Amino acid sequence: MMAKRTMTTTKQDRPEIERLKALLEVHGGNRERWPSAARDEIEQLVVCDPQAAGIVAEARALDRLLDEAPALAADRLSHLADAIVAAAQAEGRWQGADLASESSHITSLPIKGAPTSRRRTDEPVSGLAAHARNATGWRPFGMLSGARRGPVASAAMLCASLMIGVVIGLSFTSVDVATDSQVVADAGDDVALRQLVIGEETLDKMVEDLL
Amino acid sequence: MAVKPGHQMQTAFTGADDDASSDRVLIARMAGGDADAFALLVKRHVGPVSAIARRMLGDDSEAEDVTQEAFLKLWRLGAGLTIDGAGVRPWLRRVVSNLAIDRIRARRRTNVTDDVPEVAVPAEQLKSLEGDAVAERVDHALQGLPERQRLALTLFHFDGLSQREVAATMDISDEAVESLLARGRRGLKVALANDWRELVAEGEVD
Repeated sequence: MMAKRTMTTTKQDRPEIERLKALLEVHGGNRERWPSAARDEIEQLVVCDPQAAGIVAEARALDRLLDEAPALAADRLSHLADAIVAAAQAEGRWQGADLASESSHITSLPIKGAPTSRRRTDEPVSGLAAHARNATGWRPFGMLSGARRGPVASAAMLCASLMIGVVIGLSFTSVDVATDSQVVADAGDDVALRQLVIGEETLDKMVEDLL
Repeated sequence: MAVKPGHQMQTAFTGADDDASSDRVLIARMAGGDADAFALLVKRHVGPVSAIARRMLGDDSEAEDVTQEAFLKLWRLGAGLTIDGAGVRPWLRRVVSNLAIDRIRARRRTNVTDDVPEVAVPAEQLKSLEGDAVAERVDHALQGLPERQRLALTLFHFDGLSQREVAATMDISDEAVESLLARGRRGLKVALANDWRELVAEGEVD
């Protein structure tokens, strides 16, 4: 048994193959991604050793497959860029660092496509007043955008956001439940798979902490 | 096997110095309320940033949401953002990675299963769909990886970051990145065994 094993792998090249496998598992099959110190050694090994050449070919095949992973299509990307800019302009702008220190002021923000320049007012607004303004449709976009706000107005916004979040969460959950009911037969396998992935993620975290 | 020939890995660091200084100028303008400067930043970075989101989330719409969220954070921060010599891309990369992982975890908490009922594909369409099918299998294999392995591979393979840059983005050690990459590739190799064996057999990867 030992003699047969010695015939297929010598004591000298076996560790090299193991090192090669370990290196390719990290860096893949693209020569440019290999550590520069290892490139020459790998290339010599590939020329001399068919097993090494096969291992590199496998790594390159996996790289080629990975390159096939979907990305957003060009037209979608273009629409996304436009949507991001439009959303930013509609939102107006606030500077997060200033929010706490200047939270006693209400800032009016652009209404329906107005320029992004900010106009500040020191007018005090209570939470109920702010709520009433929203409820009556007065300056709705100003209230919903990300302006610097008074603390009470901010609290009102937070409450509104939470309510919206709950509604959205419930609607998504109901959609999920409807969808899930169609694949109930697969649920057991899926849960087991998820538990496996979660277990491996826990392992990842432990390894990261250790290293 | 319908792997597109000449399909090259994206390299994200061409002209990085120019981009970085230009990013600084654009951010300064953006902080002064210049929406055109923000639009230029979006145009410059939306491709690679959305690609991270797409590969992490496996879904176009969710990737778009997360990408938009990342850029709106940039917009809101304005002058509050300090960028170093690498420009704004590392900051965006880190933000979109965190947002994607948050979304994956939220999805896991709310969904029993992500599976969509399979719809039978007419036989005559199968051949033309082969390329898409490979992409779908790769996507599915990626989505099957634990999120940290997926993120490490996304940043290293797709975004072209070095091991050290991946470590900095994920705030872990180089050794931890090595471990994530190795286990990620091992998982993919198992999941895509039929596909890579076919490529090797066809001699397409010499």
